[in-house]
Amino acid sequence: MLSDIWLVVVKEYREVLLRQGGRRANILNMVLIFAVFGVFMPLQTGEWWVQQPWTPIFWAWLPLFLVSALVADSFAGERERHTLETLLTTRLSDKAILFGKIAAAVIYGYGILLAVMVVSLFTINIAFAAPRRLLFYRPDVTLAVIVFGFLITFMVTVIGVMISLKASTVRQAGQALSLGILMLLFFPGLILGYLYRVLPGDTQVRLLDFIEQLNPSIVLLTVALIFVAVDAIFLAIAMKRFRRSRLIDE
Amino acid sequence: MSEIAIRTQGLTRDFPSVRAVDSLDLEIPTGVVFGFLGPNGSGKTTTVRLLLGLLEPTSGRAEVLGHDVTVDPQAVRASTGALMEHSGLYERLTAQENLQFFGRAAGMSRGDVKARIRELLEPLDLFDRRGEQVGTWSRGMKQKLAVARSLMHRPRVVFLDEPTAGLDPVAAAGLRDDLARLVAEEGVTVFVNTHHLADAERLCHQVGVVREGRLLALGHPDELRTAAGGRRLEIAGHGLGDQIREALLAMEGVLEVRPENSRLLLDLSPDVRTPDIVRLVIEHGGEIEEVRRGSETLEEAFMSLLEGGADAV
Repeated sequence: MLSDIWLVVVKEYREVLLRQGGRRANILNMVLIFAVFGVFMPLQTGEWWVQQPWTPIFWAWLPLFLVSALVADSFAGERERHTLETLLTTRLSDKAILFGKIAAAVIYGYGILLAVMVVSLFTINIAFAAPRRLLFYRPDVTLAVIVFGFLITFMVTVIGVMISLKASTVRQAGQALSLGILMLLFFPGLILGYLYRVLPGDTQVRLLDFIEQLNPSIVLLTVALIFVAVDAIFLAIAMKRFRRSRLIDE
Repeated sequence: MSEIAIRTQGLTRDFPSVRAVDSLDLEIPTGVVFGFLGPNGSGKTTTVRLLLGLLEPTSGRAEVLGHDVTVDPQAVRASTGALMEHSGLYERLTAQENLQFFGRAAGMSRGDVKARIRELLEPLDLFDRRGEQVGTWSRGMKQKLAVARSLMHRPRVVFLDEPTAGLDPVAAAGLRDDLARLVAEEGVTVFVNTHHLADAERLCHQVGVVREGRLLALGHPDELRTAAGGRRLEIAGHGLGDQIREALLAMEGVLEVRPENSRLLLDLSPDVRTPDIVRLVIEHGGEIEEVRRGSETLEEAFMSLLEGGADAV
């Protein structure tokens, strides 16, 4: 099973990443990502880049944009290029195909996230570290990026793959996924902001007091567990929706 | 080992607006090249999808190499190869990468994949070009590669859905020859969907004619010709004029007489004896140089089956 999943992962990289638009275009994209997020932004932000506590929010959302093209192509691309049916005639199990597609995007998005994080650390140290003193991310920040980066990458990938399963073209899948990402980014904030505003004034004060007294570690752990649960639900839905007969019928 | 490679019993598949496959009963022995003939939209592709376990039947059942396609579709796919309506090749990958992927997906070892690629591509004159991206190839080359891919893991049954569709006559004839050779060498059972009668004539030991999902006829191509339209006689010579034509038409069992250059083409019912025809022509002053027995082409048999509204088998 694992070797089958890996086989699909390698095929995805060869087909989608290494060939789409040519190797040169992909290398250029990669250089751009590392230049902006690994060099330019840390240089603009300075030492604060590794010290401020809000860094995980930035890092955790970066994979959204990294994996979207890959997951939009996952099934819609195969359907558009008339390779899906042949893939489905192979011995590969439904799970191997589905997990292979998901793993390819997660490894790509999460891998680049961690690599950019390391590159930005080098940038900060080269530009701002005092002699004989190295600058590092805060341990809690590092842990949060590693955990939330993975969980969010996984969630967006599974949602994207589900959209791609249904879409008839890559463009259609890409548009639906962009809309989904926008909702994911802004909807929770808008809802929470609205709910906060409709609360009576004294309740708002009590709520802020309550939040200030919360243990950040417990909050992060709770949020992480919620993400794990949401990821598991989305994965279960994707596994239920991935049926060969349904893909051919559609 | 099962003597029957493919067996269907009352296999039926409904779509919302149409019954694509209607109570299909087939028994295809191992080692046979079976041609499934029918016009577009007659249910050929749906039948292959059902046999590969890609679609579930509405009713009835099907077995491939003893595996029920509904109960154990993965076992069916592991022991079969398929070339579907489209070549299904990854055009951004090279020919070698395509075969490597499908070979490994079938569970072959790296060494076996490497040897098999040479074994399959050399006779097809594609081995030296295995490092090229498939997207740059002609349609004929892609189709050859797709056939090689379907045979990559040495399957015992291969499904080919319109393998020569979209090819020019030269490429189609070349692919037909390659297919015939590969099939003979590999000794596999082949289920080939086609509406090109030349494919069936060249490749098939047994054919089934299907229309609107129903099987109209089943048998050897020769049996089909005979069943569809009796036999034909061709007489070449001199003095084969109107008088002789009229005399022939008056003879019992002579269905039609058509002059063509210095020949007469006769459509006969099966019970007419050739010596009686020859005697009659000579008696009426005709000089015969050659008499040749013929039969309907498979294409004519196919058309008369489709147009004749034959009952399902």
